[in-house]
Amino acid sequence: MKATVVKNTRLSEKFGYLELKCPDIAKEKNAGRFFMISPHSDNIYLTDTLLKRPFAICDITSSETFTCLYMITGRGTKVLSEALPGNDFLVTGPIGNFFRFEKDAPVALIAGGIGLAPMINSARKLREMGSKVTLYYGGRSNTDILMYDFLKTICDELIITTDDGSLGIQGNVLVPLTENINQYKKIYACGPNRMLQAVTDLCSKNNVAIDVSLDEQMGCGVGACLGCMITVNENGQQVRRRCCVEGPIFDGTKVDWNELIR
Amino acid sequence: MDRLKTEICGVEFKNPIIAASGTFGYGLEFKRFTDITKIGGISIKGISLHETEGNPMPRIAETYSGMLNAIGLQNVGVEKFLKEKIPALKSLDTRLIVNFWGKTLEEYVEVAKILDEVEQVDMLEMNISCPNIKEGGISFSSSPEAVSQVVSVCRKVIKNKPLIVKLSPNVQDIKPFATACEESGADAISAINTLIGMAIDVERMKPVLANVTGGLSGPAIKPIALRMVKEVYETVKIPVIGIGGIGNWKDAAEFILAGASAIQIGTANFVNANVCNETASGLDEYLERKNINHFSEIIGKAVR
Ligand SMILES: Cc1cc2nc3c(=O)[nH]c(=O)nc-3n(C[C@H](O)[C@H](O)[C@H](O)COP(=O)(O)OP(=O)(O)OC[C@H]3O[C@@H](n4cnc5c(N)ncnc54)[C@H](O)[C@@H]3O)c2cc1C
Ligand SMILES: Cc1cc2nc3c(=O)[nH]c(=O)nc-3n(C[C@H](O)[C@H](O)[C@H](O)COP(=O)(O)O)c2cc1C
Ligand code: FES
Repeated sequence: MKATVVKNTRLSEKFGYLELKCPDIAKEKNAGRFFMISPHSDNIYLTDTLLKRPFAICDITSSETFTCLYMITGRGTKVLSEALPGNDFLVTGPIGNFFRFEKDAPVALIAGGIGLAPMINSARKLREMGSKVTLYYGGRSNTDILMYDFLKTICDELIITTDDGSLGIQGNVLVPLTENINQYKKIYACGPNRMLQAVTDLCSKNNVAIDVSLDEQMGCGVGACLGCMITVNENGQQVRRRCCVEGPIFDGTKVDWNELIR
Repeated sequence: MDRLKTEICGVEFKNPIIAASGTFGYGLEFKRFTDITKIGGISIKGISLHETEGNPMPRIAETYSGMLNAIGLQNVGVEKFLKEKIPALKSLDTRLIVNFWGKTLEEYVEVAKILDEVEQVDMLEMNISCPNIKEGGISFSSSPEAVSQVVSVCRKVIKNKPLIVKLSPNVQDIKPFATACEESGADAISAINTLIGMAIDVERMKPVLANVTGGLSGPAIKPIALRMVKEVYETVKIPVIGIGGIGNWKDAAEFILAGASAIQIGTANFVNANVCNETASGLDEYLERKNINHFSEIIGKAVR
């Protein structure tokens, strides 16, 4: 299956987003799912980046198009960041489980860094259901906070934190979240593992449910290679689950964080 | 595509393209993304007597033109495989090869016996690239003698299905290993399994894989695999199934020209979920263009 680049928008040196045309992925109705994309386009072919990379379905822009928010971290994301309109990429998707939102339940979305990607679609989904959208979004400094003006239009409440205080509240998302945690019935979070673990701890202490979207190395993305296992506690037993098909969303309180933080 | 229809050890295949063990799960994982019924056959993830947890994470790492894996032979075990996985495969109109392994000779024999009785299974493929815990973890493919031993004990209990033995490339000379398989009663040889390698994360200053080393697969190993397939082809009379870095019809044609009677595609399924079918149709077009009536006419042609 192919996806064609409609537009490549650079947001900063490290971040940008692709608008991709691929009706099979754009028709996805749930938030939190992802797709795999091969970083070989028809004008750049690097055999050294062999495997497909996982990316969240960030925003559905029409019945045929969706966006992929990227952070340049290595060779594959560098290729994607240089994609031109008209380039075709091999993709597989949509893949994985999704956030199960309840109508009118008091919930909050939490994003750390590139963990913002699945939250855009999630915010849209909540609004479509008529629920209030609260997003906590943290980054190192103001240059890491992407699409501020756009986010304001899709959220009812947008709480920004930066480690250096250059935008919003100084500190990480835990700072405002600790104060407000008792307002919520459930938290949905995506970001660095350490942040997800800390948010899970906070939720556990306050009896708030938490779903986290995890990032693990992936080979096939379809459940065949067993390369992406996440250890979770199910009925008192440690079991391994495939991040690509049984995940990427897991109950944070069940996740074996020691294995993930390395 | 009659040019590709073939028979291997008495089993009929629509085409000689097989999805390789460990890269195609239990057969149905890719169903949403490719037409599995058009694939010649699938080799199931290595099955053992007992359910096996596998290695700690991280288990995979990308390397130049390839990948390392240290899955650690995780599988549901033969009992659950028969109960939970096999029934779903019944309606699948493709050949089913079950890859299997053991930690001891006894385990090999037990699992072989059980699989030999399963109606839906067309062929068995023995993975000998795993450690023998009774012999201090030394591999079953450490010497031609060790290979003879494990192949002959399994051969004795496998009465209903053809037996493929899958060779490890982590040996100095693969030819005596191929001879050992043939003499011990193997019906076919598949080659190659992964090459042992490693990668280091320079930021963490630690190996990328929790297991430190892992098996290298993908385009990076193709020249080595091709050379080994040629060597095995020249050494034995039984059919050779070529594996290693195949990602398109051209790669497949190279293996056939080097002596392969069929080929398996592994890592490339991760890159392009439809690669097995695209390889089959590409091969068919190639044969038509070359005015060749059947691919078997060119098996080993480049090395004869
Ligand atoms: C479910 C899921 C959704 C994701 N969504 C997004 C997203 O929307 N936007 C975004 O920018 N990133 C996302 N990521 C992370 C993204 O997949 C990696 O940043 C990307 O694979 C890095 O590729 P690279 O070639 O630039 O890095 P390299 O380091 O060159 O990659 C080498 C190999 O490591 C793998 N790899 C490296 N880093 C990661 C990582 N963090 N997670 C998984 N595999 C990795 C690559 O897939 C590749 O196989 C997601 C990850 C997962 C698991
Ligand atoms: C993730 C992964 C898991 C594998 N598991 C098995 C296995 O269980 N048994 C086996 O015999 N080979 C296994 N292999 C080896 C492949 O079947 C194949 O021999 C090897 O990958 C080379 O082919 P390729 O380059 O086309 O991938 C595995 C390979 C990979 C990448
Ligand atoms: S990435 Fe292969 S099983 Fe999850």
